[in-house]
Amino acid sequence: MKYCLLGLSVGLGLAGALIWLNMEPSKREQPLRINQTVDNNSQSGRMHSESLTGRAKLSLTEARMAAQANLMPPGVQSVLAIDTPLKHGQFVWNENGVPQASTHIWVDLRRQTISIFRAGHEIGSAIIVYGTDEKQTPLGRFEILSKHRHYHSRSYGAEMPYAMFITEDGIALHSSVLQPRHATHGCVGLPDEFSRRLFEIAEVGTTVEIVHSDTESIERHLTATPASIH
Amino acid sequence: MEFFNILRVQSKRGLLLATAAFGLLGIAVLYHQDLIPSAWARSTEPDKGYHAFQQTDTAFQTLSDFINRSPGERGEIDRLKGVFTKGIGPQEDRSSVFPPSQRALGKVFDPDPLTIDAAQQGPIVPLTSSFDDVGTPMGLIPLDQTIGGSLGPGNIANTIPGSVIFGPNGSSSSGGSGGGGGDNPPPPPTSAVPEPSAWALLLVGFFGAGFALRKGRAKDDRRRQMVAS
Repeated sequence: MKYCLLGLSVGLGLAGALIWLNMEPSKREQPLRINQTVDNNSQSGRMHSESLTGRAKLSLTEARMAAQANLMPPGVQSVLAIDTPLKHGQFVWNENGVPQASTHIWVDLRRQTISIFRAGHEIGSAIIVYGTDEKQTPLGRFEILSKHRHYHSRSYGAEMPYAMFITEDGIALHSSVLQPRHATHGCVGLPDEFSRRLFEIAEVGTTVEIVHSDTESIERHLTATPASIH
Repeated sequence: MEFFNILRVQSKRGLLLATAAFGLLGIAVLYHQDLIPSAWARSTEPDKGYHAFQQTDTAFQTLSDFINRSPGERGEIDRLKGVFTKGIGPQEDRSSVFPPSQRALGKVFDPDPLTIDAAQQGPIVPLTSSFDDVGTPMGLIPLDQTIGGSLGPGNIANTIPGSVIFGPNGSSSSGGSGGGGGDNPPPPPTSAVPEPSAWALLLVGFFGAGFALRKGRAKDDRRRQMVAS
């Protein structure tokens, strides 16, 4: 009897702890903002000077190669200076000194990242979750058709805050739970705070480009071309 | 009683095995119910087929950093449930994004008292003394509701705002069914999923029953011993 009680209490404790753990993911998944006050001029080995804090300037060659590899739209002048790989839920946002212009949203499914460009400068970047192989996120160039701050999907019984629909059949960019093993039914899931900021600046008609980048082409190019040419 | 005799195993190893089996069963049930967070239950595998972009040339440092900020290609993902399910993987709690400002209990809403007062536009005047054949009260009639002409009291009462209508005895076709709904709303329906307190009570009940049976058995044993001696 003593062992039965012991087993029961241990089992109950375990179950309680697991349920508590399960209820906490929203708290554990709080997005971590990378400090954007790092002055990259002081960092070693960086050839291109930064005109704005937390921002790295792209050379014309880099910009051209990046556009060819579907990493970003053509004509980008600077990107956010992020030295470490981002994790799910992390994002960087810095629009200091970037002039007002139309926004261009760039979603790279292969790299699981989203980048927001304005006037040739990257102002925000985050890790995303996207559709499964069965329910794929469509590739191509879209426009934001409608915006919904509080959206509740009846199809999936899920909250989709800050939903920005890009297709008629329900593909949207919206706030989502960000986990490495997580996927969606075709939507692009963003961190909460990131989606809120994007929702504020994006308008109906804003271009959204969803691509599958090709970083190997850059690698091939660099191995074939001596660096001294540039 | 036979069942409890089986439980009274003499060897400690058997009890330990039973305890372990119980624990494993509990974990299996929790896992099946998706109560174990997937990240905890299954170790996160590294993403497949992606190696960090190697770049030694500082001329391409910015582009290299841009590529390397990605965690890589997505690896294996958690299974998707059906289309019309509550979501993907463990139940998502999105309430932290937009905390609810109101709470509804089973879709039962209290009537707004202000609207009832506005419809009545005056105090309730019972007409108990106006009619000889006073029947059962039929409810409150709002001002704008017309009553079928078959009943005299109804017609008269219609002229008095907010009056209480009494139909004649045996009459069931009176028009007094409309009203402000001043009664208390029905209690909210019981949820299909038991609350945690209900589970706790169930467990306490099991313990109580087990304790009582055990005590009873001990008493029986003592009585049997007394009879035998």
